[in-house]
Amino acid sequence: MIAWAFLALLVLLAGGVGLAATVLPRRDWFAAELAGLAMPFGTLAVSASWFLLSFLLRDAALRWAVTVLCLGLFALGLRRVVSLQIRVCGEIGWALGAIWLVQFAVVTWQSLGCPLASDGLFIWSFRAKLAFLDGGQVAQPYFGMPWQELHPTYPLCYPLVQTWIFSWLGQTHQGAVKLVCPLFFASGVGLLWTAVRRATGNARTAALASTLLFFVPWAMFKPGGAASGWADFPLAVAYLAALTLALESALPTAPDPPPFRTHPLFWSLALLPWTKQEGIVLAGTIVGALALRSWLERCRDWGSVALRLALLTAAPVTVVLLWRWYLAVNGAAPNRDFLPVTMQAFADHYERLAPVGILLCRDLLNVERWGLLWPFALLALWDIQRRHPRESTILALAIFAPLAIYTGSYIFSAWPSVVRHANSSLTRLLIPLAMPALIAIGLALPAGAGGCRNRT
Amino acid sequence: MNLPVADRRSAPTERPNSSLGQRPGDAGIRNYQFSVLPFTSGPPYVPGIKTSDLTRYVLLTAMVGCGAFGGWRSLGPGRFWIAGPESGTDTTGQALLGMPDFSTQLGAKLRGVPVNRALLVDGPPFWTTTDVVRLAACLLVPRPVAAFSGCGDALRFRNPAAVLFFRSTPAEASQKLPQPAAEAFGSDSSIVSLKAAP
Repeated sequence: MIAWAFLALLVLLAGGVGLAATVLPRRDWFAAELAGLAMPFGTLAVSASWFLLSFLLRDAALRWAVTVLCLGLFALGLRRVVSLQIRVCGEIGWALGAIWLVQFAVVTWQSLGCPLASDGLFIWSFRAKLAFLDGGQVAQPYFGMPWQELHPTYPLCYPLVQTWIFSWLGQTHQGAVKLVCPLFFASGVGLLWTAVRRATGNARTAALASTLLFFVPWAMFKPGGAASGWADFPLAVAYLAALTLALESALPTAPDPPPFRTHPLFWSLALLPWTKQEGIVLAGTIVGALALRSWLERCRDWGSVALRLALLTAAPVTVVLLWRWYLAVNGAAPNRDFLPVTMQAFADHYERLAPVGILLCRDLLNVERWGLLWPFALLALWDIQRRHPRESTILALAIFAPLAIYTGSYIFSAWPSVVRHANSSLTRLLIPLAMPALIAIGLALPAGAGGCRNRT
Repeated sequence: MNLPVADRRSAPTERPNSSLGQRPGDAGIRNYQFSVLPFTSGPPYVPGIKTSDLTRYVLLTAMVGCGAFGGWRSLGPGRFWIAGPESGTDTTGQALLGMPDFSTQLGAKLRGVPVNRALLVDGPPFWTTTDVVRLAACLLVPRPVAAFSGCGDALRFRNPAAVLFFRSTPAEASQKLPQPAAEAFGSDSSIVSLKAAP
């Protein structure tokens, strides 16, 4: 029976590879890049098509329609893959390859050995089951007030991927949905490798950097981590995908105006708010970083840059507006966690910044949660600012801008105790931000000998 | 040199360089050493590793070590089989060995529950007991029990034998769970609403 879950994931990955290969620009790709993008893009392809087609089709017809779409994307992408060059860097070394395998095995073991737990069950998997049992859509009553504790306003990307697996299985299965966890981890490793490889030109440095993801405890085995089955880690991988594509524009070989890789970035930025609500902050950060980078580089063709930035902004904004419209149509219960953002609320509660700030600092320095990630990320950003000025600008903004917004958002917390609110969610919000931190550390690593050294 | 932007980008001496990250066109100054970290000069202390890289390797090792420590402490139920129950928090160990009152209370409450075996997990009064229950569930419960309101666990996958909704007040405990919830969790799951332990 579990073989059907593997088949569901295979179709999802085929759709992801197809979408990635179709939208990536015409240049030489890394196999790791294509493999890394397969999971987030496959998630987007399956969940978005499932959501849209569920207004027309139900049950098996819906499953087959999404399957045909994914295989169609794969066929389209395959034509480009065979006609263009894909680079496989084989000089990574057997030791690092073995480390990757061990890490993958441990994440798989933990993913299948740990339960979905609270958010994984009640916020994500629960709605996946509802959609499965109702033929493809979450029924309207479940958006109402009695179900407010289940956060009906959260996006459906991740639940619909689980629904997709259930539809192939023919039943709900809380173990089968955890099969996506090691795939997201592998995707993160591949994208981290690509980002560092492209910036440093060194395959072994990139391989070394990509092994570090495993050594961020909270991003791996804690609630919201890779093995948990919650949406936080898929959001982190989506952020990493967008960052990897955005960093391409920071290469010294990039023309003026910089090519923002508009098409793949468009889909990556659309995926962010579709995965989790805070994705809109992350998408805005990336657009802001690209704008800042263009301004710092004194791009001459501002018209073209502005047009591309507007196009990129449109992706997440459209997703958010459509989702809000859908929620309004279904009469979704409003989010009770935050007060309306007003000047009065700010004036009443701005003193909350102090306890939240202290909590944040203690969290960032908690070795058991994060290892030495954050102090070393700071050190790395300082270290690379002269060797990789463009990359360091984007990476610094990718870490600090969301951090500031997240911290500030607790001013508007509706919980009686803001510390309790921050304790319940702040650490998980940092998981996506660990990705730019790891890229920065990767750029500061020693350059290993060998590898494919020419930059692309 | 006052070059236009596009030309400045390709000027080979514009960017500080190092052996840590070569740029195309910078071959002429390849041996220039730049690092804000210590150990930037002097003879190589470790054969095969440049002194400028030594600090980075040391920091990298520290990062991996601390990450591995945190990761080990974060591992899920598997750690019980590897390191024994004492590897968890003190509270976990005490709860496992001493079987404090809450188990008795909940056990009594569960006697009327129409499931073969049932266990409860976490919830506000029992924040530190999750690991204990996971362990017990792994060992004892063939079809585990899932969940209650606010925070809960669907133990060990599969369709749970029962869904226990934990209510914090007697008024909430008297409420029936909506029927669609039963469908969502699986048609053969028992849906039980429980009153909170005092």
